[in-house]
Amino acid sequence: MKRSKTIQPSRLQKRETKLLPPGTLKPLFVATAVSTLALAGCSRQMTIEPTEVETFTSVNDCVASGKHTEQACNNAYHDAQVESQLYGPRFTSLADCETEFGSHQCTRYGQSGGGTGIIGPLIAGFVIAEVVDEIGDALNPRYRNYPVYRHKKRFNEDEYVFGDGTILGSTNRGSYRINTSGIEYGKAKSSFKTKPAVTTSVTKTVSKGGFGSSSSAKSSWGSGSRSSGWGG
Amino acid sequence: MLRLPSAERVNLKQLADQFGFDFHTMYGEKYWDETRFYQFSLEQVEQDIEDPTEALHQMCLQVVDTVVNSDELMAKFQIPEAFWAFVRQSWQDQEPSLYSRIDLVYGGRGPAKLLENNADTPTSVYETGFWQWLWLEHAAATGKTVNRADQYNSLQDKLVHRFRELKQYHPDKVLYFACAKETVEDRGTVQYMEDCAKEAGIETAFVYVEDIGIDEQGRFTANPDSETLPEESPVIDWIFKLYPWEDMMREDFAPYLLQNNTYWLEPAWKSILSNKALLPMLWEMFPGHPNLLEAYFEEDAALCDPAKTWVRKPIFSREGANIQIMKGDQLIEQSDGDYAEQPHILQEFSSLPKFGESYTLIGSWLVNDQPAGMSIREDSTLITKDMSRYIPHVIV
Repeated sequence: MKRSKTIQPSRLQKRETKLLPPGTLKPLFVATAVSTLALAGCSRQMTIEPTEVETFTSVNDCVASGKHTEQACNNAYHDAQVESQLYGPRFTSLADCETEFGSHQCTRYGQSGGGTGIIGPLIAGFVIAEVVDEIGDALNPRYRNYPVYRHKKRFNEDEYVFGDGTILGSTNRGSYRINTSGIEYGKAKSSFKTKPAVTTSVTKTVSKGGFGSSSSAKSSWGSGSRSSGWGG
Repeated sequence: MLRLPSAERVNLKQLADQFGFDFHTMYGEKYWDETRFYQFSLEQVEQDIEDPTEALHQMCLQVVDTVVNSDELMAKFQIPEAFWAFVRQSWQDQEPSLYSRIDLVYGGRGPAKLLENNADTPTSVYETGFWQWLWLEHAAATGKTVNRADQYNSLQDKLVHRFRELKQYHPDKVLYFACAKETVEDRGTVQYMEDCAKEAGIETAFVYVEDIGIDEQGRFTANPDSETLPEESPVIDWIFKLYPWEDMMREDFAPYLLQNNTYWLEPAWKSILSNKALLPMLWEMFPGHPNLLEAYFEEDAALCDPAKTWVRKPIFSREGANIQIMKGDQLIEQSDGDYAEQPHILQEFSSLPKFGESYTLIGSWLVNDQPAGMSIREDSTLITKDMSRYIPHVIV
């Protein structure tokens, strides 16, 4: 395959989908157990309701639940792997990682095959969460796929956690109600994060505008802004 | 190589809005055009585009090595003398490069011919790395293309991977992203590059080129878009710019480039390649190479066979500005622009292939020294410009 394998379009979304005028969309009836939805035509602002999610430990597990298509399950599994490599909890030593996640529950994501070489917990499963925070989502359901990890608790039963440290719940339960908007998608929580902090010096600017003069000279044709730029 | 008609996605404008692809239409005219797509075989892509791209890049690196070792050539390449040491140091230090795009004449049968190398500020990276990738996902899902259609496009994957590598050199620094004000296209392109860097775990920030300041020590600082100068501005240690080296080297802050320790993407040595003097130099060093067009500096015009058609190009023009296509004394085609006063080179004319009513140009991308993907532009004339349409492709 000669095309990119790790693109997740949702991560490049910049704006929320706007609702098209009534009549331009097929009406959709979305059946979920818990979300309260506004159907097309309703102009009420929605509050963010918690969503019920299940963790799946494998693609088969996900397909067997009957709740998602095989494609969706495969995508979720793949997304969880990628997300984990990029943003999973990371540690400078295997010992530190195993303290949190248990012995034999950590790995160094390999450098060959595009891995990052970082030490982190193995994925315990993945979650497919329907995101419902906008009227438009009633008509075009959006999903976010998250990896989950099994976090050891010393005096209690293990819990599933997301990559940013948000707790999903005890591993003994099958399903959970969570507010997915609280999860920092793509950010590792500081309690797990051990990479060095970014340092920036701060100073007093004495002059600016010494670059970019060619651009104003060349905007001579047309008034107002030109869409085209300085590339070639 | 086929050009096949297709249908625009019904929700194209909505999608473009959702993803912030705001320059899909420019000056009221369509830029991204999915009413057609090109189809290649894997063999064509690998043998006629990908392999020659890798070879051409290596030849270009040899040109850089030759030029930095000669004062005469540095002058011929219009590098200001004050910057010779700066550019040489950049090459000697093997400062890492992020990406480039070479433009090729190719119509389905090799060998492809190099038109030029956009090694400093290549554009259409968003359209290539992401937007045409997304088009294929949708097209394949809705049966517009043959099942299992692929695309020569691992650009985003490679960019993110390369950013991860670059992060190792600057593990604790913010990477700034800069472009000039008042250009929607550049702002969108730079946003995408910033997104790729973020995917790689780099902490990023944006600043307009015009808002780059200096402190008392001559270090570059990042400032908000306002009249007043802040008391406290962050120092810029590491910065990606979508703005040409040849301009920066001639503008008011140029001397500070020589004084401070800022790291630049693209690195300064790339200014030797993003310069059409590259073309006569390549011909001089690799005469007769199948992927090269004959080319000379204008002062050597006597070497040009008058029976052939030649294209006269300014050394620093971009977006197809100030090009003249001439046969003997006859002017066949030309374009406007602001670059007329510069030194020129002459390149053998090789017609872009015509598909329907349009002439087609192949853009072949590299990330570092690895071929990474392809973009396709169409224009109603022989000279590809800023407004030339972007067309997606598949491999079947």
